[in-house]
Amino acid sequence: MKRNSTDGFLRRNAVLSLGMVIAPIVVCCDTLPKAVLLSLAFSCITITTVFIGSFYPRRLVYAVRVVLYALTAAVVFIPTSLLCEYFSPSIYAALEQTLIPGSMDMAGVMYLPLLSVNSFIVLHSELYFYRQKKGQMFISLVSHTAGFCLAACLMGCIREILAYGSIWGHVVDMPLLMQGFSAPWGGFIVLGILCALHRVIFPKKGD
Amino acid sequence: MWLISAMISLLTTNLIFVRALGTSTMMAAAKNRSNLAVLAVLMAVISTLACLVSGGLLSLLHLDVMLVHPWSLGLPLLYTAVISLLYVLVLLVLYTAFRKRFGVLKKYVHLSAFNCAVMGTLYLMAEPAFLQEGETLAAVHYDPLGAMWFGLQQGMGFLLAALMLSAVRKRLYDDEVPAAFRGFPAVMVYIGLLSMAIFAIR
Repeated sequence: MKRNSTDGFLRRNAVLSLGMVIAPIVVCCDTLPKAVLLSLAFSCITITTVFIGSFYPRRLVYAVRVVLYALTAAVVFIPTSLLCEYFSPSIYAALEQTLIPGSMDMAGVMYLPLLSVNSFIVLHSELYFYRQKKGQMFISLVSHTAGFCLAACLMGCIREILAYGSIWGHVVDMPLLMQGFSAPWGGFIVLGILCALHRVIFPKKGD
Repeated sequence: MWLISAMISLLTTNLIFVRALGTSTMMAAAKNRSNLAVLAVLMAVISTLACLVSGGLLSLLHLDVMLVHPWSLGLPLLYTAVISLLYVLVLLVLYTAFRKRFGVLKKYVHLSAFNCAVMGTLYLMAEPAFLQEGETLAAVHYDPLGAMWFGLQQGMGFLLAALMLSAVRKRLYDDEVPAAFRGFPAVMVYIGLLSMAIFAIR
């Protein structure tokens, strides 16, 4: 089947179909507001870095190009983080203070910076995006990024309902709350079920 | 008894089961066992050296101010620079030592250097300083052996998790598993259940 530039949004969704960028989604997307902020950060870092990276000369050695992509992403992370903090200081603080049960540490502190070494930038850019013409690459990049945002928000929404009985802080009448779904293991299980649903809706060849 | 305690310790501080770091990399590595061994060894080497170098830079060059907001926004740049340096060094060493197999090995180096697990390990190493920000920054001591041991431990944790996945991989991709869950979704649920059990131990 021929690939379409917009396939990245649903059919070839980066998270649900390709299993990329799992860590931030599993740990940080336990509520919808956090998922929205994570999506904003991911979009800014990925789109800007991959776009800038497309101008690096192809005659550079592969290893040097990859190093340049990662360094660019680390630089782009700085204004992105400030933008996220400006966008909503309270959600930004909540994201940084995401707790892992049984630990005293603040897990969320590291997950925003980790977006700067996501597979879109260090792997998928060379294998997929830069093999296309600029215009097509941009459409494809935006659709893949939108696909990530969709998966993140779905995870955030479902886990917030199951764990806290609310959507964006508004209480929903839930008969039973299972707070474990806010923990990483809850994230893995919800992600597994969402991937299975995605398979049912968009079956792969041979399924 | 010592071995059991070490295993429990590796599991309860495991990057994948506790923090989901490097899950995508592990999924790629677990496709066959030789991939897995090479990738896990390279990851252990890179995370060990990265902890040693970045710990040294933070402490000896007095860059520990970067552990406090807003300077901490520059940490990814520092860590990426360290990882990039090691990435190039490891490539050079492999090119010199295994020139015939270099074409195969270089893709593993790429996969094992730039991923959430290595970067996450560096963040975890500096984590106590994040918690004590302001008051106890002066008390951040650099212990090269401790830093190396921490990096090695995380690499070994990755190997253990990948072994646990590769042991059941065939079953999770078996025809008996419903088509919708076969493969990646089943792996996610499996990791979720293991993670739940490990959280219970914690």
